[in-house]
Amino acid sequence: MKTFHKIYRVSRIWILLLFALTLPYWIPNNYYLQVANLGMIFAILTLSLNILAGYTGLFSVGFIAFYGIGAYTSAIVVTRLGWSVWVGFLLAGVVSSLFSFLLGLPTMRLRGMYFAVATLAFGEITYQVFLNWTSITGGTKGIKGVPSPEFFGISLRPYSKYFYLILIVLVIVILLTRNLINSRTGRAMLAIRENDIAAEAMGVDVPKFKMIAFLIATFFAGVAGALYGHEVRYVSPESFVNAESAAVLAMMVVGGIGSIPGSILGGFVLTMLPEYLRFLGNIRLVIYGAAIVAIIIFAPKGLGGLIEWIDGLLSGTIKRGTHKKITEKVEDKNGHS
Amino acid sequence: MVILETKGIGIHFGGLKAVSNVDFSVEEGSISAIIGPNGAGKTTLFNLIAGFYTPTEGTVHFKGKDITKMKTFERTYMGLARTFQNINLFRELSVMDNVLLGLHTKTKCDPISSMLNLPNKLKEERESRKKVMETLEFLNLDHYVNEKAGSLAYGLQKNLEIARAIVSHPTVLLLDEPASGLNTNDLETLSQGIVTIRNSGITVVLIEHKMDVVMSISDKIAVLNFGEKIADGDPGEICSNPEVIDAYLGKDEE
Repeated sequence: MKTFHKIYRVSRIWILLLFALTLPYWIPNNYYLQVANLGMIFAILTLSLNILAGYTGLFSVGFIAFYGIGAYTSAIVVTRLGWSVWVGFLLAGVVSSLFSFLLGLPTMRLRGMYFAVATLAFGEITYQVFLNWTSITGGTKGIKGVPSPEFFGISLRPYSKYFYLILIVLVIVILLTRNLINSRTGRAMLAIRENDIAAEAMGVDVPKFKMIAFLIATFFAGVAGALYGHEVRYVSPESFVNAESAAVLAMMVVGGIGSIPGSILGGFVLTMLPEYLRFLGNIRLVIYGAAIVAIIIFAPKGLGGLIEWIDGLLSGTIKRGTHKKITEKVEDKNGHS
Repeated sequence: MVILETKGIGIHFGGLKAVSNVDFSVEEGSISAIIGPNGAGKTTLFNLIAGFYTPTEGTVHFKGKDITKMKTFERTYMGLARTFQNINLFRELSVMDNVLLGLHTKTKCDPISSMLNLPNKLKEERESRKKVMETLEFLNLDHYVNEKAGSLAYGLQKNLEIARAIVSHPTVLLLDEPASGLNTNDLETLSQGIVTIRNSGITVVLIEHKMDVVMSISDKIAVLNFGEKIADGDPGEICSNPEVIDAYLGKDEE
């Protein structure tokens, strides 16, 4: 059993990577491949929301606005100004962060529901701007002909190639988020979520670190939006209605609040599920809803918690029957004494 | 030298005078205690010193500077640390993360280097974790380093709160009822621990109801009653002060 745990611990990351790298071959159908790409983009978006809501405790109900700002920014600078798609991606993050900064100035001092309501309003305003500022956003018709990026002369237009671009961005965002959480900044964010009074007593400038979390989260959300725009090559307001914000919140909750694997699973699974249930007709939406409720009831820590538990069993860090994690440090200590 | 001082400080919540016109000063390197009946305004005085409340009258001075207008986190940066009466830990975070947060003011890694794991971040993390382990060993918490703070027993949580407050080696440590809920054996350990903390160069101010702890370790004691200071002095003076006996200590009938 011990050797099995060891083999598992060494090989799990490679198995996962191999699976991710070969995914386009597992999904030969072009339509489902596009859905998978969309799922990964939503995984990035869910992860960014998790930085804000899961780690810092700032519930944003209008988060799709920043995704939309990213999508529009890149689409506008690429189609109207003829800038490179890669600059578009970067600018999408920057402009999205810029808007979160402006929104954050008056709202970072608000607690709990007030911030949520402010973001809800911001989401609605953003949607109205997308819809009505026709000269820039194209209004209801949106922006057509958003080009695919090229990488050293290779067009990333086929979904099977664009897949790898999204995968790279996803991996980068995962690594950056993980590093962030294990740092002074990340811990300050967690402290604000847990207990803002104690956080302040620790010397944490609460509004400042809320703002940092907001800027980082919306940067990633903006990049995700640009990835979306250049994937579907068309940007229009209905992709960024407030109902989409609710969908992302659902992805985060189903995946597991404050869990990185959870965010990825939540984004991916909840994007794929309705498509794979399509053969059921309209009843699929009922099943989709029921599935969300079931996950919340039976796996309160979400899919991420479930995966971490299975991972713990396989790698031998959780003893069967107990849910208590036995850490290596304590094992060492007991071994010595 | 006086390191911490309040001058005529007071706060009124509507008509209620929670603390009124209190002069309270702490010598550097001493252990001072604030005692008094429940509701006398002891914790409120702490909250005024730490910056959780803004006083309606008077001023707070720390290290010779008027800090009355400063925010709580800025006072922490200056070297003012505290624990809370009803334990304010980050319950869902590990013991390690809790104490690492105590080092927030002593670290300075920016978000970008944090995300990119640049060498300056890795170095700072390594040093911080080492310092945390030392503090945890001092308070006998090193076995629990990866446990969730909220899952620890009550006494351990109290210790953890002290660990979190002293890891940054603050100038002044405010302890709000460190002995509450501890059994007699632990009281002795706690008293010794507080003296050790003082001997390491941290000035200690504590609120406490357990008189044997207060009397055995305090250099100076201030007594509050109905928001006003009714006495201060060394333990001997306080014990024999008739007003204090009347308001708080009570007569020894046996």
